[in-house]
Amino acid sequence: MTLLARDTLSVEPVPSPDRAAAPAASARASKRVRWFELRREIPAWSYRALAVSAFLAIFALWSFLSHRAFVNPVFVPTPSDVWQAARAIFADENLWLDVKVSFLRVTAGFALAALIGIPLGLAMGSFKVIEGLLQPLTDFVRYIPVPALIPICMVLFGIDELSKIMLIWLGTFFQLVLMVADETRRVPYELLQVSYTLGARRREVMRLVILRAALPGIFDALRLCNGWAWTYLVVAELVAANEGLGYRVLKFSRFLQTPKIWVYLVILGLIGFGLDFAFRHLNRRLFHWADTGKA
Amino acid sequence: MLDVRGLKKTYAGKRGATEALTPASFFVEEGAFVTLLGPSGCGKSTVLRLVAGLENATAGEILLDGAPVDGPGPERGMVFQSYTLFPWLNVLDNTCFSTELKCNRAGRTPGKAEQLERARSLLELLGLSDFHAAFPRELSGGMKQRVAIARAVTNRPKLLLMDEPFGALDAQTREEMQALMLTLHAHERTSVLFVTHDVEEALYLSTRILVFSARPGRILRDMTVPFGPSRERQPELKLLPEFSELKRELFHLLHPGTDSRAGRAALLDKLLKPQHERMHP
Repeated sequence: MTLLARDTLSVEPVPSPDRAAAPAASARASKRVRWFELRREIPAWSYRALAVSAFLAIFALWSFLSHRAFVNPVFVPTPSDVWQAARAIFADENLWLDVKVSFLRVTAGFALAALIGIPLGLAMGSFKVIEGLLQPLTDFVRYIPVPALIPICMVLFGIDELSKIMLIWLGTFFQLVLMVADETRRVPYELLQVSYTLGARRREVMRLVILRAALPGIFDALRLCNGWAWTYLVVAELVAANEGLGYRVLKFSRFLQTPKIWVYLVILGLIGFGLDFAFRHLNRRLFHWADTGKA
Repeated sequence: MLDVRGLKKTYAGKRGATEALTPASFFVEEGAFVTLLGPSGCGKSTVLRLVAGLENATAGEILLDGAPVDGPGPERGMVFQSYTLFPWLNVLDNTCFSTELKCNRAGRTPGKAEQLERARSLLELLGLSDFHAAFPRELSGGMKQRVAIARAVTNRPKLLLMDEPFGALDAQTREEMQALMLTLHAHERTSVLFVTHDVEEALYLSTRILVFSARPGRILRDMTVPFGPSRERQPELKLLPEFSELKRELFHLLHPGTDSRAGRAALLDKLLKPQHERMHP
């Protein structure tokens, strides 16, 4: 503390001959972007340019390899083959049905996971009793591979929509519960204590403090889980499906229609990209108050 | 007001029980500014947390206006060393948190306008009039603590508990906060129980100081500070010879083991030289 006072003294400007030049030099220095400074921001345009060029680079590599026939054309078709396939697929109304059906399945499984997972995770993060009861159990279940559960799922839930939704639910629910519990535990204990000293009761602390403070983190967990839900789509559509993006990819692979597989993979990627963007955007809008930890 | 009798606290650890506080008894009178002063880990914060009701005493009792303290409550407002504002509420809403709680429970808004007016005037007193709509992440450390103080005081607590509230602030901000604290105490006349390990801060702010020994904490001295009420205290107070004399006395109480002459001289020099002399040589 005493040292601090002395330090502020020592930074007083020292008169020097090139004093006038100093501000200009520092302005120039601050304009220079430090590209590899740890966790430092870079200009927005350069961020976008980097993102786009990564896509372009992959695309260039792909066209180079496929056109020069360095790779087996059955597995890696040329971009023009894929383009042809895309035109055929977009002309066919199956695509939109697939997108619709898959979107509904994923969203239903994910929503069910969120609906049960968020309250349960909050309870697990807040009460040791519930944590003791459920956390080890969740840890146990969540390492069981979802595809291994397909037979049980079919026995329990039949071979209709419910079974597919439940498989997506199985893939996301246990992860989500643990993540929500972690976010809940991350709420500083002092925040609860100060609420009590301001007259809040336990229920009020739960609703007005813990939930509010954990919400940005929970929202981010939802974003990640939504991504996982989409990756379980193929697993879910292994079960007696007649349409859906995952089902279609499986079918194409059975007939070695690789260009069509690629088209569907790109569509899946685009859906994921769009959803992720929406989640991030919403997060920033809803939780503008949250400290993002940036420099 | 606050009556603490035979308060004792032991923590159970893996290697047996640790005694944090040997039986302590003291009384805080209405409107007093009482500071618990002592080295780190002497149990002074434990006393505060026990009075706040955030922990349970091993033995002894705490009475506030004759009623035993049982758990935390709004009549004992608390300001923590760490920043504890609700990050999703702006300055005004943070300040009104306890009012909002009461209004929500009652389902109507009795005296809400009056409470809001009080919150506004408190924020003005603490120099935050222009920051009603600001969110905590936009505030400096000193401002955050000022909001935390306003929030604890809006509800007119009988007793304000402060646990090294300026410990995380830099020297200059700390002095500003001390001056604000005197203004607030003169204005509100709330009884304050304050914890610090800074001798100068204790002398400057309090009407009474309870000096604690190192762990296990024991009250070594109950000192009445003779510098008059809060509203009459100015920063120049720290330059008075009487101030330095008391500072020296407290220093010796807190450092009974400084025997080496050279070491003691160096330490004393560092501690006793008033800060203003160092800042304006």
